[in-house]
Amino acid sequence: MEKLFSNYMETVAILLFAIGFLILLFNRNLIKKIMGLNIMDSGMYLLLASLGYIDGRLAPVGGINQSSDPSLYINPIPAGLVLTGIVVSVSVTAIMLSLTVRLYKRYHTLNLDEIFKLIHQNEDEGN
Amino acid sequence: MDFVINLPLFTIIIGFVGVVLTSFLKRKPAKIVAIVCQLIAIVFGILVLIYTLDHGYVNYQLGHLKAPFCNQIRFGPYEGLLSTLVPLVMLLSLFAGDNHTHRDITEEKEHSFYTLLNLILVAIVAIIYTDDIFTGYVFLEISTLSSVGLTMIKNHGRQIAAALRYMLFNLLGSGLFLLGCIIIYGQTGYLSMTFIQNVITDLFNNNNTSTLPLTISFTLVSIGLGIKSGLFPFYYWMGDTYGVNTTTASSVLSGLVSKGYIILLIKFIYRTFGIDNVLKTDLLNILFILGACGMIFGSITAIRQKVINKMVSYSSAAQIGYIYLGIGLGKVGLIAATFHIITHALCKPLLFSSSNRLIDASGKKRKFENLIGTGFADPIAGACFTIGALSMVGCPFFAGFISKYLFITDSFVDISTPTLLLKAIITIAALVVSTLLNTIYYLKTVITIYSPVRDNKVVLKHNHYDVLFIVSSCIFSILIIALGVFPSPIIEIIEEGIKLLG
Amino acid sequence: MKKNKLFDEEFELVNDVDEVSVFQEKKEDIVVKVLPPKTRKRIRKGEEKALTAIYDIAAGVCFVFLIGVLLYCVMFLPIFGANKNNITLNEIVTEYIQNGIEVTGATNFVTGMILDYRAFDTLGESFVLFTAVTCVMILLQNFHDNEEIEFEKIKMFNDKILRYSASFLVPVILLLGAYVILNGSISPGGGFSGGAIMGAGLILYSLAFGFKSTSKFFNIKNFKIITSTSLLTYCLCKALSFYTSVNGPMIHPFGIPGAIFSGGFIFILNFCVGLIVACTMFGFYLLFKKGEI
Repeated sequence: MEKLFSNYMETVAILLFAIGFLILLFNRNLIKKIMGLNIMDSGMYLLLASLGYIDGRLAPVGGINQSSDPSLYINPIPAGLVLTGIVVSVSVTAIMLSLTVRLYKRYHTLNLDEIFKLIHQNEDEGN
Repeated sequence: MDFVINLPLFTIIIGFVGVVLTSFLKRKPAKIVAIVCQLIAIVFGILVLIYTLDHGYVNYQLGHLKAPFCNQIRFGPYEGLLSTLVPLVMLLSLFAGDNHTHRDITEEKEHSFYTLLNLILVAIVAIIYTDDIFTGYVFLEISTLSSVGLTMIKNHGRQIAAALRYMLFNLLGSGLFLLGCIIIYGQTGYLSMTFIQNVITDLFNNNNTSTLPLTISFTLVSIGLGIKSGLFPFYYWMGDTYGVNTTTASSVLSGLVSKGYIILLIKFIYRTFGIDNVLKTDLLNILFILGACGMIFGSITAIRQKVINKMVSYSSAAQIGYIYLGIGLGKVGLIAATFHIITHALCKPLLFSSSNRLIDASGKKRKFENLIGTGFADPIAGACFTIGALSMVGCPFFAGFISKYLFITDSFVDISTPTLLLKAIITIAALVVSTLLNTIYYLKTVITIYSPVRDNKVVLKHNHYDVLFIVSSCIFSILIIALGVFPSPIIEIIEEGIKLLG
Repeated sequence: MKKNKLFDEEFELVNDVDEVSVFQEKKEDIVVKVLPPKTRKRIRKGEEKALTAIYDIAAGVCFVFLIGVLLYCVMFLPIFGANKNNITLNEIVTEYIQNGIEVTGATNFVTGMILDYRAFDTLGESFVLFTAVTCVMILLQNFHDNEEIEFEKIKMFNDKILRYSASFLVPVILLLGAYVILNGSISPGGGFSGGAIMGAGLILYSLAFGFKSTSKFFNIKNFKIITSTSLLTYCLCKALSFYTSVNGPMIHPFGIPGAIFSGGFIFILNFCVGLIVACTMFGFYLLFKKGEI
């Protein structure tokens, strides 16, 4: 149990993931689902970035003294992976928001269940 | 060093260049660029397959150092076979659905359609060749976003809502997959599959450390990829996504994209974790049970559908269940699973394109009662639907029969322990039940489309002859029947490839 | 008993029916589907409530299970910030830092890693952005009405405070963005962050001064030219680099580490990525606001 507190960064990351996941599952409003998705992604990137931190070391930039001693710098690999993840998260948010804009213009509601109900009603009448 | 080993890299780069070109060209040049890219990919795939059958697998570094410092792609006969299949199916689906593409998509947006198709091609080929888990994640995201793009290109409200639901499920799957990758990196420190396997084998053999995080990460990865490809409880998005799409998009999504995710899962089991380590956890049994349930419940959902498009979509869920059943059987079942991947990738586009032509013949009405007699109005589409249906049911001389036969024989190869015997019995029971269920809905449809029209008021249109559809459906049918009659070369290639896989 | 005057036949309607679907092919045959309304409404609401309750309970159980499993897994991860027994500190990290400057020419080890050692991932990532732009263009292009745009214009572009502050903020922001892109291999930064900053500067400019002023230099043709050229350059540079690393001598123009034009291909790649990201951010803004680029 104490490990949860000594690994506080990872625990907080999982809690953020949990909050985002909760919003995504239970909230009926589409915009709030997208916000929940973003919070979930932030939690995952915090988890990834915290794998690279080492106490007492500097950021992995060559800097003024341009030293190449590996014991001076933190692990640069998770930082690069998080960069890719952030770009993916931005792209996904943009597409989901544009889908929401189109759906709202057409059905005038932000509730996904209502939208499907309207679609099935139209289908039963039309086809 | 032969030039052939550079060909997988060139396939990916030419695909990317094609993507960029189609984004600013107009409709006809964009289509030509897409067709050229796919032809090149087919030719390169065949050359890679021939080369690797002689020389074994090849590790090709992408960067100036070898793995684990830089990215790496790795290919053997297994990857060569699959990377020939993918552009072939895509090209034939493009031809088969050409008419509908022109009809359904507005002219200004049609070049984006070819952009997205090329992106899916590049993404799946890169997933097949990759030897690095994070590259797999990036190309997984590319294929997710482009398949969502294909779903919403028709621009009506129904398609956009289906695209949103598909995207939510896919993102959940991607999120779980990324979590699994993060935990693997945290436990092993490597991102390259070969090196991860060495560390995991050491961790499993060392009795002091707990292997629970690795088990959890494997579960997360499998559930994430299972959600994306349509495993048992997560397949309810299939009806809306595949059922309302234009022909080429449905064929490519159901035939290729879900298989790409399953191939990534196979690479995780055999190359990243190692089959021996996975067998020490009992997680393959869970995939096995979920696959068996998917076979039965997918068929039950398909029987309840009243619209032909959705019926064909939900039968995809049953077929994906077959593939997971094969994966759950371990190394012997992988041959059957891969053969079924090939069979399904050939049959599903045929079924979708011919059912859409039948819907055209009935005057755009999709319910079964409106499809009576359309087999006579459009004889080629009716014949193709019959061939596809017979293959899915498992009639002898068709490819589906060989894959079911392989499932049964592979499950009985090793029945030394009670668990394996139980698995073999469950395999046979599930196969029998699901074949019966498949027969119910497929043969019902075939009888419906070939019943004579009794109602004088219903008028059926005779579709005009479409050369591209005839050519592509003939090639699909010939391949299905050829696989059913002469399966041995392909089975030998698959066996050779699996030996070199992990 | 109501008599419907449209048709010649009489048929019986239940009172206050709300679920009637009338399907008529020719005038003579009418198919009427009628259900007693109140029972159907009750069944529907009951079904819905049951389904929602099942979904909520199942989702809640899955959620609790998943989070419990993940928290349990956190206990087995290496201690946060430790440098002994840390399995992630292996020969890869040593290689990247020790030989990073000589091999890649970049002083910033993270940039050296993502644009040189693991360049294939960054190539895929640029195409993820490109896919997003394509999809958003499919959905939102030519979608808004013209009256809405005119109304937005009147509402927004009368703000004197915004114009005054933007007139000295925008050049500074664009300059900062360009600085971050060009110094990507020397200091923290790089194409992605610099491109995002430049995109933000362009959005501020468009908010303050209107669409006409930005459409002078940023229209659909320029957008497509810039993104296509940058992506093609990135793709072909990396293809050349991957091909020559396996067959034949590496082509790697170096420069002095610490100067701006150092790192060989990294400078060109940073520049391309920065342009793509800036155009993409601004393109998203215009598509959401105006419906066209």
